[in-house]
Amino acid sequence: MLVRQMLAGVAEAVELDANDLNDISTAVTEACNNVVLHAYGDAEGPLEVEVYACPGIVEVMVRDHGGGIPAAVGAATEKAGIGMSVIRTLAERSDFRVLKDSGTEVWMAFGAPQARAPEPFSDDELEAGPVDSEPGGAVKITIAPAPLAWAILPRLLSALAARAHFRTDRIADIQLVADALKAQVPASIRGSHLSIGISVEPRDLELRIAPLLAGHAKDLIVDSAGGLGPLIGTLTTSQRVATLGSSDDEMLALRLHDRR
Amino acid sequence: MAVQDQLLIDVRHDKGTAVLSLRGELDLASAPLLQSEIESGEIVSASMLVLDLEELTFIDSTGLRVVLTAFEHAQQRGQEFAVTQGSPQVQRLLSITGVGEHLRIIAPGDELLV
Repeated sequence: MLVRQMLAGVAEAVELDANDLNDISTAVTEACNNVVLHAYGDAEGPLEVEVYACPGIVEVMVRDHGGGIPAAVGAATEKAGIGMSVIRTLAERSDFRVLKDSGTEVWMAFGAPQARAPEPFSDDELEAGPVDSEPGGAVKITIAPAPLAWAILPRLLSALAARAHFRTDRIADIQLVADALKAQVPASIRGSHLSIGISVEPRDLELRIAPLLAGHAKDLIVDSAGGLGPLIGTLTTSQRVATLGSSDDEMLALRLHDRR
Repeated sequence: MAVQDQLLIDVRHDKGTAVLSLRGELDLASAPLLQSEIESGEIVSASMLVLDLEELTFIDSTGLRVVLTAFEHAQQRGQEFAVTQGSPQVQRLLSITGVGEHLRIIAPGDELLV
């Protein structure tokens, strides 16, 4: 349901036709179901969803890092079940790939003639970068072009907070944080895509945003003219900045807790 | 959102017909709710079972499987079974999977629902 809400946000931003959105939501739900049912057995593990919207086409990648999806699920056989058959029917093109280390990817491309480019938009925003693994049980969403992320972040956070049993007034706080991020973060994004990682525990939520330009994550949370400092300090429980791998890129992590 | 909020099931009985009206989303999370409702004694003993899908906004293959299983079980016990056509997304999934061809599909205003 969460991923469908995200796709509804994307559809709104690029003015996707209702029937196209239905087909995309149905196929992507089936890919996510495969992860939930087969990837990690009885354990929990990360689910990664990447969305790339271009004029006339929407591409979605659903990835897990488990080891449990049987090859037959992805193969064009009767054993594949309804889910993969639905994906193949609804997507213009699709591919199922077993990853070298562990996990699987389902890639789907949907023709969406009415989809327009979100604003602002330019050709060089279509290059997608690599993503990092997320801890167990987390949802990670990578979206390009990056401005699309702002169409989905508020509703994604609201849905997750409601699921994590946050109170209504705390969900309103989270909306304020999302609005502040929307206003301040775009100038700090390095590259064309934005990765949003969200871990959810009962009444606890951590939001991670990357990749940000070196030095910018810290600037965002200190009390500066362009920073989110006062608001972030008041509305979030804790903040941290991490450097991504060998690059200078940064990740901003904000933890929100609902004290009762 | 709790699963119970995601899928609301209204059950009514009239002259041996059990009508289950589904509102919301029938997916991996909510399918067990419908499965459990359909297996209840009152539903099983009805002479006809109707699933009203008009207000069902979304269904996935796990939801579809519950509908198909309900149909098969109804056939096995000699119970009549019908569904309404549902939202465009529901109609689309029934169509591309071929499941719709096996089901009796009634109009939203059918007298069975009144």
